[in-house]
Amino acid sequence: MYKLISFFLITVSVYAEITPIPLTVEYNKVKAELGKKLFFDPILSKDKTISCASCHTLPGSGANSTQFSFGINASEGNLNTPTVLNSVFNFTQFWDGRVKTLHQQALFPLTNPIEMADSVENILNKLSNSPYKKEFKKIYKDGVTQNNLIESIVEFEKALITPNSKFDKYLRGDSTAITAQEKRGYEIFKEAGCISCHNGVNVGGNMFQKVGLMVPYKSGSKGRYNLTLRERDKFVYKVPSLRNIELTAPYLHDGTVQTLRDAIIFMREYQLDIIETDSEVDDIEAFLKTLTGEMPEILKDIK
Amino acid sequence: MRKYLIIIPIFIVSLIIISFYVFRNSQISKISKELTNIQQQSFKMEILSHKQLKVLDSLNKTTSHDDVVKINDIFQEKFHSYIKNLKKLNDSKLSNLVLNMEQKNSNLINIYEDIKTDNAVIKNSIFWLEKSYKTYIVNIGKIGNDKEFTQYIFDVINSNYRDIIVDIEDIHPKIYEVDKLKIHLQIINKKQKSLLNLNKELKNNSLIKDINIIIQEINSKLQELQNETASIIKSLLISSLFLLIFGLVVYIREIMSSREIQKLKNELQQFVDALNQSAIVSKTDLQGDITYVNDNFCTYSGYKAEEVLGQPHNIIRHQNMQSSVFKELWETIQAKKIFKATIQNTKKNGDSYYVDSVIIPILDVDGEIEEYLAVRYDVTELILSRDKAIVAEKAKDEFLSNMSHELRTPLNSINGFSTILKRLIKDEKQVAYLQSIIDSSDSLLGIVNDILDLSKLQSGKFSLDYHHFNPSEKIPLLLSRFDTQLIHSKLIMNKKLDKTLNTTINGDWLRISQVITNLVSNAIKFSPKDSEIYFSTKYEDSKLVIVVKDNGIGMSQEIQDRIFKPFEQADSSTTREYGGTGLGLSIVLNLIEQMKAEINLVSKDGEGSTFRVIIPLIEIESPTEIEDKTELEEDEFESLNGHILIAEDNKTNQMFIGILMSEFGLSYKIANDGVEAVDMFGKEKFDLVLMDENMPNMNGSEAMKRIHTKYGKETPIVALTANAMSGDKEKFLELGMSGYVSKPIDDEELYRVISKLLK
Repeated sequence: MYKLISFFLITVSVYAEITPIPLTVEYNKVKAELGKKLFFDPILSKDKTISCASCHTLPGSGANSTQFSFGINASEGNLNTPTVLNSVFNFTQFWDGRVKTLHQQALFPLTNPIEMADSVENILNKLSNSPYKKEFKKIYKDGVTQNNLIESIVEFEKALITPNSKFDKYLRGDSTAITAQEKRGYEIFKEAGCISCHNGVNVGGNMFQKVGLMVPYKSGSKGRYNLTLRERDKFVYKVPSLRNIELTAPYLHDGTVQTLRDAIIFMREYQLDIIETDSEVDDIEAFLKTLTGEMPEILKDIK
Repeated sequence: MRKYLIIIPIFIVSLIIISFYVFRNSQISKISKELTNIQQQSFKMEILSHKQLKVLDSLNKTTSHDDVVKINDIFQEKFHSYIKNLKKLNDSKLSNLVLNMEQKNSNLINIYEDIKTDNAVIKNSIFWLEKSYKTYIVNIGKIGNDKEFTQYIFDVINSNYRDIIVDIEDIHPKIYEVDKLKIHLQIINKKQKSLLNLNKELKNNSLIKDINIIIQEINSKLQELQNETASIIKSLLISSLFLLIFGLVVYIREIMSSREIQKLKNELQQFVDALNQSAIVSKTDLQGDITYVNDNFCTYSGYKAEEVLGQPHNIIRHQNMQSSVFKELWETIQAKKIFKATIQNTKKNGDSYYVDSVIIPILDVDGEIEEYLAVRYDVTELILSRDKAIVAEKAKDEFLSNMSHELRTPLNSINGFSTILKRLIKDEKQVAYLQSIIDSSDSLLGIVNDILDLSKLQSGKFSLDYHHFNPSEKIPLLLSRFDTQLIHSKLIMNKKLDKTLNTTINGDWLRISQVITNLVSNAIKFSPKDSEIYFSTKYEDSKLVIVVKDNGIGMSQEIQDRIFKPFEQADSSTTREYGGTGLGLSIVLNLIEQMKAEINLVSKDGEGSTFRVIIPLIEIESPTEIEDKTELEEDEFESLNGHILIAEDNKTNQMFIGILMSEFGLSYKIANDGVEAVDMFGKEKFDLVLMDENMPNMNGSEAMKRIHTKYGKETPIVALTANAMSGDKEKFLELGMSGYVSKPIDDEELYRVISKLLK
């Protein structure tokens, strides 16, 4: 009878899935080129000292290698910079998921007093009195506007995908794309329960979860609670993508974990409360490193 | 045209109403369509909301979070467009609902995220349980079978999340990784509770109620719109009907009025046709230039229409017409009055024609002269006839004048010789016969005189001969002449002669006596035998009043009106019964008029007539001389001495006058015409010449002039003439005649004149 039950159980068990990043994504190349230029141009900040790329290093992690980033006048935030790479696939933006789309996201850093700290009006003025005016006019009939500014940046961000990682190749059927260890790591990733939250195209980035699910973890920020003021949203953050995870150190929302291995161990402890062997951690690390994809096409000209 | 103007605003208003309704209707159908869309969407949303609510019922360890996401994603997608559509409606009630729904939906999104989160965790724990359970099953031999526990775990793993009853106290201590098991069960328990809460929240935030309200709201709106559509259709029908009826009324009235106008036109055309048929019609502008002529104009004037159009109207003016006529014409018509006159016009060929013209100024609506219309009737025939009549009247007068001569001459002989004979014959019977001849000839003479008098009166050649006379002497003498007649008719005349008559007055006694004679004659004529005639007369207030009354047949008023007209008697039968020419009263009336006198008649049919004549006559205070006409005894002429030249062409008259001269005791010679008379006057010494007027070779007047020129005016010349027209006497005396005796010659009259002149 138990065998029957066992049989029954096994057959109905379903893991959540990881899906490969599409090889191409649709975007307007002309607008994206303008967006790319703007992305790297400090003109967008109030004192023209920092650009988007100041915190979102490109080509590279699309994030910052420090715990927190600096805005103008060396003001410092309290959250680790999330990567801009593949952000188009995230279900919401920011750690607390305050907005859904890139379009909604783009304005925040431009106007955040501890980031670029400018006003939209001022930015548009600056652009209108610069060679950008012509470039906008080429693309947009109405020239420099808030919408056109945001749109061009978003078009550029859309282009920032990292396809053709080893694991994606594996998922697409190339069984030799990953090593046996990496394969083992993937299995452990599933069985340990990591995949319960880190799944989908971005291996994460598609739900909220509490930091310290099994073992309470207190950090300075209360996460989504600040947004919703619901008790249950305390310390709840967007589950981050594990794509290109080996590039985006330091880890966690507060950037407190320096290495990937430590991050795996942190997650094991606080989120899953399971005991894995060191070799298993190694395997998971090996697997996670297969999630690093090719730098976006649009960045090819930047060395 | 003005009455149609009223149609335009009504038509426009109706059109506006209709187009408004049509517009509103299209709006309504558009809104209805939108509402129906939203209604459909609402139904779908309702279904989705139900699904959303049941998400937890279907949630178990096999449910991937994608399924959860999917349910919500579909819902969110639909919700988004649903809200967008709802907002488009711009309904305040709905927009409140929408705000509420958006709030709820954001809650729902959070709830779904929570479910997703919890689901991931529970799923993970159950996954762990499953794994542990498998290990337990494998190691079941080593630790012994706890059926109750295994059943429990089995239930936990396989039940829906909400059915899990987690009681972690009784877990077998020997069980594999019991601490972990406990933690996972705790997690499951905790998350289970969380899910139950979420389910409650899900229900609280469910949009089903709101959607239902929206559906109701939309239903009522649709109902309203349907009602409005119905009323719009009704209104459209009514206004279309109204327009139709209005159009019909206008159309019918139009037809009616155009019929009336046509009728008027036809009537007018008939008048115009009649006018054109009968009259000469032309129109001119204000300057008098011809703008229209009808066919008659062309026919009469001989011009063609195109020859006169644009020409001044005086193209047909006749040179005989005085310019004062045209001056008056223009003054009249320019004063907007109608001018009427008979005008002589010239034809193209120079002939003239006469027209009775009526020239009418045609006024425009403001009362200003627009043009002139001339309507003329050809009266050429009439004018010519009138001229002919005037000539004929003249001819008649001459005829009458001649006739009097021709009639009087033979009467002269008849009367004269009869009188002579009467004196010579002694046989009484023969004398009576002769007297009858004399009476008849007198009567005939009276008739001839009447005709001549009337003719003179009517031709205006009559004049009064005023002299002094005493009515108290003249009237009885005149009345005595009727004695014979009265005796014949067995009538008595009751005479009343007032003593006021005994005075001298100035008047034409001859004409007064004529009036009296006529009235008395009539009275005698129309009185029955053995009746009385009443005659009275007086003189007072410088008026001679004469009243003649009979008891005759009388006259009706109708007859009284006609009675004074010439040749009229009471009726034609009276002529046969009483005889007479019917000239009497007509002469009386003419004489009365001449004397500025009055006559009035009181009479009734069968009750006799009373004529009253009032003649104004001036009394002479100191009478100088009263013409003394010695009345001679009929048969005795005092013998006269003298040698007389008689100029007379008629042999009978020569003889008659000769006899009279012999009777008067005068010697005489006869000249046969004027030439002979002048010749003879030079050869012998004559004491007096009797000169007939109408003689061959030389008339009496001319002969007299020759004698006067050759031999002086000493010898009196007496005119003898049958031209007994009134005024003849004066004419002859003026010419230089010493006396005048009219034919037929009254022997007494002749004697009186001759004896006077010879003295």
